[in-house]
Amino acid sequence: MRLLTFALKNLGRRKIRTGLTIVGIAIAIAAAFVLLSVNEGAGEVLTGAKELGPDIEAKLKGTQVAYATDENYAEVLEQIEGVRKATPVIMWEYWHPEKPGFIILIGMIPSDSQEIYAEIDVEEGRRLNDSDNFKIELGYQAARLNGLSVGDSLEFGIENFEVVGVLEKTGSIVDIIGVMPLWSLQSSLPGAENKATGIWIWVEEGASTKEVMEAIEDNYPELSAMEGIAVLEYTEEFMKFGDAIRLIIMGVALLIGTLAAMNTVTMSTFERTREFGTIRSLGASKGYVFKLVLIESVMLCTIGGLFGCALGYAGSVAVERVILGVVGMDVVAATLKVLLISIAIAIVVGLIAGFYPARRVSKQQIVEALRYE
Amino acid sequence: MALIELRNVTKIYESGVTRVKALDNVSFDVEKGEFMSIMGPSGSGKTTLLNVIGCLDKPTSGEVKISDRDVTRMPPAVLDELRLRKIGFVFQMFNLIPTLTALENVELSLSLAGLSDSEQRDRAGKLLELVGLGTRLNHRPSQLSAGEKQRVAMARALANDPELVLADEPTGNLDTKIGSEIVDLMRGLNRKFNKTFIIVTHNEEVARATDRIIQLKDGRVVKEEGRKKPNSISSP
Repeated sequence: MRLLTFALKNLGRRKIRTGLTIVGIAIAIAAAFVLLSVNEGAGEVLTGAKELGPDIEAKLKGTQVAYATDENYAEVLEQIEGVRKATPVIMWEYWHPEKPGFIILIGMIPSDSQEIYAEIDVEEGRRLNDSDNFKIELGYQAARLNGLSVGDSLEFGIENFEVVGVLEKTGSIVDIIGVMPLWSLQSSLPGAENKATGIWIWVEEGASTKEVMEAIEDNYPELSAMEGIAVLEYTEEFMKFGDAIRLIIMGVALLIGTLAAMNTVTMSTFERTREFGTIRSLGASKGYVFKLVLIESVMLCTIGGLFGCALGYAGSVAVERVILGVVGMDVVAATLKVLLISIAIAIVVGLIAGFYPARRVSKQQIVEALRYE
Repeated sequence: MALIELRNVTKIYESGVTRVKALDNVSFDVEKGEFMSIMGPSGSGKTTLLNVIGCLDKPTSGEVKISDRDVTRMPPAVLDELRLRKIGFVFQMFNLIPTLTALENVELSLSLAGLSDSEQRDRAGKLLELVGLGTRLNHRPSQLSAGEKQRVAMARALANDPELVLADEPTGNLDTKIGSEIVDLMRGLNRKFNKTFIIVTHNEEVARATDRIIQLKDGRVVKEEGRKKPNSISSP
């Protein structure tokens, strides 16, 4: 008779109660699984976006206008020591009122885009080049959700942009971008001539990003230099807020799960008080009964956790489909890491839920336990 | 050397301002292989005495020696080990684990002593055959009669080959015929394997079946009847 077998048999004693507790824990762990998957996916998207973005974005200080920075700053900023590349970029967003998903439009000099993103291949068509005007290359999901393929036109304001290429699927923010020649986007937006949202800057290998940022602001006090893409800094802040909300929801779900498990294990030990007295009278140590109850609790929560992971996986697939349909970005990542963390959470819930009843049982006087009615 | 020596054992229960003297200066010896009973009316201190001898409870004062070792001074972990190896318990309500089969109930005691799975299965099976339950190994307590349950409890008490078996009202939940069969079984085990049996009972018939009767009243030994030399030999 192994301790694990004994513990498992004890769990089967009140099947309905055990079953309901397992369902409760499964729901809590499923919620944790989905939220962790979203966290993981959103984190991956942000990391991917950061990797694709520049080291520094410089833009005109104190302005709310989306394209207020003169594009000619790119040339002068490229002269600063440590700067490898500087190019003007306009960022805009495109919503089609009848289609799901939005496109992050990036107006960029096509040769710079090709140089910087040389590793991204096209699934269909070709990349943009400097002789293009009113042409666009689309990310995989941007094209799919808007029903566009090579040769189709994207209406933007009064202009039509011809799709020349669809980029391969990356699972990152690149999937929802649309890259246009800078000049095309400038002429499509009112007052955007020679303007940019910011100047994207890549530093030379070995150069200090911080020092380059300081040099930019020292030489051009009207500019502010931020690490990465400025808009991502705000996105990250917003995501932190989202993380906190998710953490609170997860905490509440887990607290309810823990209390359900604690209630079940405590009730079960109260009912079996005399049995524990008997086991102790047979020569079992305090540690043995402590372990027995703790193992029962961990088993209960682990079983619930495994069901919860299956449920959570199904839930995250559903959430992924919904988000993909709405924004076109794969922000849910039900990875092995998420699975392991969820199981670890279930085990920790089991340890917390089982600690009090296990301690109570191990501290009980044997004669009192034997007398218990 | 006696197997058990009790000297001036007193046990007082205190609850608020109430003091109850459950045992009052109890002294006697029990030799190895004895088959004896402790009798007395309800509240006379029989179960308290059994708990003290079985190292489940400590006396307020006095000395309790098992195999010449004073158990009142032993730390809890050593007492656990002593109960595991030297003492077997049989209870009035059988106290079997309801989720375990007869075989598993006996295996539980053996697992505590660290026997391997196959050793546990083998020995538990033999013990259940010895108490006449060879065909009921895989039955749960709910599928057994009261007499059969007490036989399983007996096999469990003998699992780790203890020198001493303490039985608290072992026939209290059985009818006269089955009760008498259980006493016969205990007597047989005492004779065959030289196990020491101390049976707490208020049933005079059961007490008369033993070789020695200690009568308790208000926590004191008021009468002692009969004494026989222990018999011998092998182990189950």
